[in-house]
Amino acid sequence: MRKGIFIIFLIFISQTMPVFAEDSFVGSVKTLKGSVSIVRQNEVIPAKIGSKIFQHDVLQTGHDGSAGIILRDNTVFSLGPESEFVMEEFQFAPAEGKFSLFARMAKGTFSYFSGLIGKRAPDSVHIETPMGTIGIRGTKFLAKVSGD
Amino acid sequence: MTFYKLCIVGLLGMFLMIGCSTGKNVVVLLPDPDGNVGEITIDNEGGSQTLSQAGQAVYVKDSTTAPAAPVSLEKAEIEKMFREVLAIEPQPPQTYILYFKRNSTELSEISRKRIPEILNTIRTRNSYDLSVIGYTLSVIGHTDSTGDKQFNLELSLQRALAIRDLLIAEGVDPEYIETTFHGEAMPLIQTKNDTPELLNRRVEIIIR
Repeated sequence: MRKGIFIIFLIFISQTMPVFAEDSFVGSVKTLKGSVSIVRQNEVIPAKIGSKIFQHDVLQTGHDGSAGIILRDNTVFSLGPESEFVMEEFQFAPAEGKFSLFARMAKGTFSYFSGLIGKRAPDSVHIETPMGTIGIRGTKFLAKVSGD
Repeated sequence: MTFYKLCIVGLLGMFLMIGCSTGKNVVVLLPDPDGNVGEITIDNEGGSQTLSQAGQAVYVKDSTTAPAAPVSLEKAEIEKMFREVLAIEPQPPQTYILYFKRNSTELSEISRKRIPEILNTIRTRNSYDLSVIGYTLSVIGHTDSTGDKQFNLELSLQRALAIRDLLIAEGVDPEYIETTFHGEAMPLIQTKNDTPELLNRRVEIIIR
């Protein structure tokens, strides 16, 4: 009986959440230079190498700032100076076939290269900019966005 | 004299117009780190443009104006425009796969020898974000498939935990290790049920 409950528990957690990540993060800051901050629920947090990125986080770089982040599906985003990036939505659960990557490049300079979501489910990648939407089929691109 | 002034004003105006129509927003397609070139499409209220060749760029005035026809940019031009962002790009993540003995959380001899290389990559990359994903498909048995799946789910968890513990023992900060497991749901090699396959008895470590 106890074993049965354990197994049900195992199946449940394996299908919903990573085992030890207390709150599922989207990715982390991997490279950083100058002033970079994360805006989370109206709070401005200075970003450091290793800072975790969560859904709805906004990343901002100062005039001397630049940063690179890697998401859990291996997608890589980099930001040049005076840039603003919003991690709108991220879902990566290959076992359930759930993929979603929705990011906003609000202003500045960016680079992107595809991770597993871009390779396995390219239609699930949405990148919004003030000039329009960028659709991607497994590749790398650079973007400069004026922000108005 | 006034004629020259007018000319200068006129030229300045032309430069400004060119600047406005082409310089504000730009998207450049590049090959990915493996050398493959995919495709990107820029879509807005005015229309859309698709890029499919490396070095191609599209300029966009604003969200209501159709993206301009693609142009080719010189490498030097791209490097100048995106200097800071290119300099900060992280290395793409690296994946290692470790294989296990049958029905066990013990590594195969060959995989055991790869551990120092993995630790070295974690250290040289100063990695703060690891995923340890356990998989398994190993049991020969006569139980029904539900029974196997449950057993394998637990075994894949134990394998992932064994690697996680090994990394922690070597000084890797547990806070940055994410551990997941999938049982037999995601084989590397498709097999019939109840087939022993070394290549599926594995743990993947993704170093970001």
